[in-house]
Amino acid sequence: MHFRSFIIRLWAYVGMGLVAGVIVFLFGYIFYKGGACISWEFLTQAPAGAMLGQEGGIFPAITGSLAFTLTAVVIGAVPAIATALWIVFFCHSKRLEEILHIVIQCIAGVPSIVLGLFAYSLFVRDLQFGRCILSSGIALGIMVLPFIEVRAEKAFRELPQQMIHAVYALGCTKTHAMLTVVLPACRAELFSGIILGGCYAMGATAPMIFTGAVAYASNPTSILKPAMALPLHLYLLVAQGTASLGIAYGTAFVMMAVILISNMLVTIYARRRQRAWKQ
Amino acid sequence: MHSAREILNMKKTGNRIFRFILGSFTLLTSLALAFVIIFIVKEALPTFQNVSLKEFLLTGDWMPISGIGNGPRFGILNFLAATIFVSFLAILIAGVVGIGAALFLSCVATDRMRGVLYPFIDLLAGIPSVVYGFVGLTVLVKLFLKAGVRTGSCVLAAAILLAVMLLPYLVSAVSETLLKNKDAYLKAADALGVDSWYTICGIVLPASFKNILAAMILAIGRAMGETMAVMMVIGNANLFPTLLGKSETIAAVIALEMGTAVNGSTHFHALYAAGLVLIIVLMGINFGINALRKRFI
Amino acid sequence: METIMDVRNLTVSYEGKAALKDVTVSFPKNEITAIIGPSGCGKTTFLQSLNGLITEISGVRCSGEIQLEGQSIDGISKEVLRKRVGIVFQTPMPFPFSVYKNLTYAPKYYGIHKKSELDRIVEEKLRMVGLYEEIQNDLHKSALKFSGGQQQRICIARALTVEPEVILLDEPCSALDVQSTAVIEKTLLELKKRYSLIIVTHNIAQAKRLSDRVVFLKDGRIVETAKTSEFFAEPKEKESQEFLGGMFG
Repeated sequence: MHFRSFIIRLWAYVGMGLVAGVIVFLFGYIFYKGGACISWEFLTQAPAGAMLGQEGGIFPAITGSLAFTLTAVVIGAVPAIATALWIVFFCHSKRLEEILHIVIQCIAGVPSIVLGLFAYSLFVRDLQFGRCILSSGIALGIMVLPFIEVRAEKAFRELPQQMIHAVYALGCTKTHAMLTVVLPACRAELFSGIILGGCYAMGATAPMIFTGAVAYASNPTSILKPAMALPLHLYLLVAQGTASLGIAYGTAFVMMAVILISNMLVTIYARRRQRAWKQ
Repeated sequence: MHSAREILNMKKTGNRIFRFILGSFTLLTSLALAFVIIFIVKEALPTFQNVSLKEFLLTGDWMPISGIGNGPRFGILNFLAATIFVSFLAILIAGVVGIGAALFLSCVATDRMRGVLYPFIDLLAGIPSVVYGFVGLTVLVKLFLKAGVRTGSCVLAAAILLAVMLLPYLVSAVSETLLKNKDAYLKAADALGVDSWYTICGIVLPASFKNILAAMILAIGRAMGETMAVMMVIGNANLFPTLLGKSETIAAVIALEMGTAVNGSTHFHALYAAGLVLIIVLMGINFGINALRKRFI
Repeated sequence: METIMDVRNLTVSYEGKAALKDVTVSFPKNEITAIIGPSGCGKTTFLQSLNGLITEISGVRCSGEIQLEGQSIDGISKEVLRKRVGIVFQTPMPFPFSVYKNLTYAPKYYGIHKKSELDRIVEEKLRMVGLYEEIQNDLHKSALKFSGGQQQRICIARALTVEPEVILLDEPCSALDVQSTAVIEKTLLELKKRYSLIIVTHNIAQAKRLSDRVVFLKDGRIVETAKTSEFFAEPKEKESQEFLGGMFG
């Protein structure tokens, strides 16, 4: 065998090995170190201890993250899906379509910390929402919007055009086609987009640092108040040094577990509802 | 009971309303982008009343609090350099490993294997930045510490961490291109009796070169926007980036100092200005790549 | 001949290139008219112009006049036109629902919600396509689980649920096997008693079997129209002769 062929082949195996190794290591490491910390109390109690979180649990961080994520997904997914629907079904100008795609790409290109800056200046300060779940939710929503929009658009475009035409051919309006055929048919893709988008929002620290996530708060009761969040909690624990490392591992564990489970659910669901009409 | 005509009219009105709602949301999306840019620019500009553009971009003195005998100074050269340097380094590392993995996925793995491996690799994309930083701190930095680097935190550590974060995107984009080209060319080459890997090396890879390059450059954009992971392992010192030295990226500066910057102070505006520079660089790269793509592909 | 649709000087172009050039033809009522011609001659574009689907395609320019029952279709709203002129596509396109839902989709849209009425419509249309006996116990199974021929008949039945006057069929059997084709052809011959059918087909033998009139389209132009028996016995135009002789497909 040629020497070059051998090198390339080696490159392929080593590359894949490294990638697989890293993935296994990351999850394994966190689950191993964090597993020791996980207990029912950990998950359901508030942090305690002389230094924040040294003892106790992370419950308010969990509920806080839930609140942030839900807000972000609602604020991000609704415009995302609406925009995708508009572009695919109502937009008749190629030029406009291109421009909108560029807009979405640009939004995706804004670094998440800058979104935090934006949310701070407009919502926290100028509109006087103050630091709260809503302000962060808007920053996070803008962050996940392109993520969801791209997936939604892809799903809508993959529907056979003739099927949509079959609906029109019966004399039905586009809206009817969208609500009764398109959206139900794309359920799987839309769900997975929303769930994965939610995971993305859950893990993002930068947009929420100075817009709504705080070091210590009780369980969220209103979106106009600040709350704790898992990623920020992890960061603060780490910043405090070795005293809280155990709890830090536990927090990371929870986050990774959520990611892993969500991804698995999405993959399984997507496979089960595998494009029925392609049979 | 409605007559047929009434029903049709209701449906048509409903259609118009729905279309209006969808259009409004689309407009909202575009406005979001506009607002983000407007507000960042609005808060960034006052910086330049007190700091000249040249000083801001080309000096590395960043002292938000007045030093002895000097006023506050804001120069982001070190941060800008660190952001670019770390990202480039990360892309290189991610490129080498990622292309290898992509080769495996496209040329060695079967369809079934791909069906399992793709979602597996995608898991990397789902891991939050702060968790990467955490692992980076407890594993990578410790390794570097043992190897003799002063506190363990350094640019190289950040680059390696960032590289891992970029892998899923790179691997998926590159393997897609390689797969397409492989399917196109391999059969013809096999018919000539040539060993597959020879073809892959000689034809498939070179044919994919442009797309691979494009994917890598786009990934740079993603890398530059990363905040937490890099921040946790790079040391955060206002120094010009060197491989084993500490440094600080623009994103890290903003994240670390926004909490203490007084609203309306030059420090505050300078942070926004730094963010603006970051956006401009990123948009520049994106538009540049898209323009080049149109010319060459 | 009593006509149901009249087309005059129809010209359709996509982004500058003409797909149909100055087409003038009339379609008789309660008969099957076959449109035949080589691939790419504009048959599908023609059908899309007849029921207004062409407006959904971007970059299209149309001129000329089409009349349905003497009324210009420009004066008819898009939705009403499509209700009166139904279409069945080449690839069976049932919605990803049960058969029952497929067939009640349009009636529900038009305001019929009473179950007894919906059941009646489902049974009636399935009988018209000869499918009722076969699948009456499987109405709530997903339409996608049936064979290609059955799916196509479900689509035809679905098109019938809006009570159209004209049914357009775009190569309805080209994706099906011989047996399904035979069943569908039988169905179409039955249907012409109540509806007017226009069928595009690349299968000349099928055109001969099914149709009462033939329209020969080539390069976007009508070469010849005639009664089927006359066309196949003695085609008038040279191009028709060449086509039938298999000179181009």
